[in-house]
Amino acid sequence: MLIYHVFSQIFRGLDYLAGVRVVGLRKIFDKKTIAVDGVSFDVRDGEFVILLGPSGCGKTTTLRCIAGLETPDEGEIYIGDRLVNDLPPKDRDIAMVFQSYALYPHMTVYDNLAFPLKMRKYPKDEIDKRVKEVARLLRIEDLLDRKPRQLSGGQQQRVALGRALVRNPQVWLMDEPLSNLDAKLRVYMRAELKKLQKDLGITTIYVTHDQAEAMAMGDRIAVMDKGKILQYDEPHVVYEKPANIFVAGFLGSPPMNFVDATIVERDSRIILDAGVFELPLPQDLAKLVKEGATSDKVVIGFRPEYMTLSIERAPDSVFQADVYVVEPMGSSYVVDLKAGEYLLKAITPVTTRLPPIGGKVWVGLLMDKLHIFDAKTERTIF
Amino acid sequence: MKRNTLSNFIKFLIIALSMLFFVFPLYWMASMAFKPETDWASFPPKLIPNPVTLDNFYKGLFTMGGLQGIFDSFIIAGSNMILSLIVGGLAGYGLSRYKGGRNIAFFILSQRFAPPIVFTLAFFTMFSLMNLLDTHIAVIIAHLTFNIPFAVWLMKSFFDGIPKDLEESAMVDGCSPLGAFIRVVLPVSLPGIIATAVMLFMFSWNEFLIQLFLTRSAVKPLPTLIPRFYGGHDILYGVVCAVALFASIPPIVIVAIFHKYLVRGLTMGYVKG
Repeated sequence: MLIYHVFSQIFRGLDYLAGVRVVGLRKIFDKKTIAVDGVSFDVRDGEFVILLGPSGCGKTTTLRCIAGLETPDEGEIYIGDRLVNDLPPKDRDIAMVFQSYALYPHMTVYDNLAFPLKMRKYPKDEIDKRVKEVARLLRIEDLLDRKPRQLSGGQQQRVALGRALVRNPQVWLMDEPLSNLDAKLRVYMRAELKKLQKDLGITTIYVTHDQAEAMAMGDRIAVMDKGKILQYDEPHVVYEKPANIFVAGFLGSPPMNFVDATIVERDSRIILDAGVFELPLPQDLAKLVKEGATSDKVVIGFRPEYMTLSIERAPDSVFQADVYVVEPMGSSYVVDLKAGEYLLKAITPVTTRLPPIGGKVWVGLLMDKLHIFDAKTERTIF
Repeated sequence: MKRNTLSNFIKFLIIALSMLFFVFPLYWMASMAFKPETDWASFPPKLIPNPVTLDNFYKGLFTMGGLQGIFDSFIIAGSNMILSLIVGGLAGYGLSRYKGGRNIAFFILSQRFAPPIVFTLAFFTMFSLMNLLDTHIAVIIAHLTFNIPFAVWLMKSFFDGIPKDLEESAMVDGCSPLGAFIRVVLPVSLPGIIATAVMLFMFSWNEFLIQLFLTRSAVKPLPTLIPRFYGGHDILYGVVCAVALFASIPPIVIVAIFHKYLVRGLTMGYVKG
């Protein structure tokens, strides 16, 4: 404990200049609903971290605890090297962008942007300078005299960002700031926001339920469910090496396919029997699975993009399925396949020859992109 | 096009007729105030006062206590408006934003379940024991019993319509909770506050029963003053109308000035944006 403390002090000096560290955070509402259940993570200075999860997973509550809008029941929150648990929001040197933008409707854009500075008693010419600077950066210079209700969604969004930016806070907190924009603008703002964050180097914690947004923007993603962080890593790691079934199923669109299987030993080989197909495992994999599984029940997971479809049997073909629906996506098809009781999704190039609906197709799986989970603990075995 | 003109004409007609229906009594009151004492029952009725006289105003305001009545009514209604707004605004905000307010809010509303007459006798006894009969304070306190619950409920519903994000944003931006209330919540709910203020003022200005019981000679608010001009032998219609004209001016002026806010305030929270 002491060693950890000393190390963390040294580390903080080097690495956590204006980072955020959350230790064992717990928040219980009404004495029964556990919203956040022992969450710990750290955010390095200048890092863009995403809290990702379905609604009700505790991601927003975690963010609000960091902002000081909720009081944690347990745990510690550090911003830079200050323990901020007992500080009111205004003294935490943070800025927050709300899902609703929360622009002050009775003030002009200029006054909205100037508000955080006025509250901190900046001199007037300094306020004016900074507001104009931020307005130029976000290209809202000609909107300064308008009231928020005279702005479009995208403009309101930019004003909200500007208000969070104007004071140069240590940490940016964002609660689904893009979710009220239309799809096209959302994708555009995603890139803008990432660029802005990188240019300014402000430590950012960003809450979203949109996995595409998380993958696109985050330096690291914390996937949350039921008040806990299930995995905290870089986007490609979370995607390629999910820690459990939940993470595997949450990231990716269309999501990963899951098939239940039983471990069977036959002729001294390990075979995964999924009913619709059998999967003989190579020696090294077999050993891993046998040692890692808590019972003989496992779940096989494979992503739609790592499946191949062909009318004739190919060397990598594993099983046959019926074509159920074909969804043309422009550059590719999403093919829904019916195999036994399962409805699986595969992504295939538009050049793929496909049988008509109801026809049979051979499905191949990329073995090294396969995931095997323990059915009981839902943890990843391979 | 033709149809449009016709429907416009019908609309105009309906509005004109209803205006006549509502405005004529007011006009009749005003014209009566300028007529000599003997003209009130002339036949055929005189729509336009001829000759015009200011006698009624002079009598009503200066010799029969009208001026004092206006003053008393302003004191009572004005202080009621301000006190109810302060208490109602803070209480409504608390009930809207903090937990456990539900039962208290209902308790407050329950103060208005019973008709005023139920309280009036009790007020009379209480204030006579306290030697407060026939004072402004007695009437003000009695009116607050009705105005505060009303203000609390109305203000609570306005605050309910203001997203909590706004205050939280203000707190992150550097305000204390009270600062967020004063700098963000109050300005945003201004239409609601004005609407509430108008209603509070009008209730107190127009209320008759309680004022009748609790005042006699030192305090003479307008609603109880005017009936005094109905004598045993004679009804001073001209004076009644002259003072009544003054009694109806403040509400009309207030509504005329704030009618924009009144409509906006009373629909606040129901219409977004």
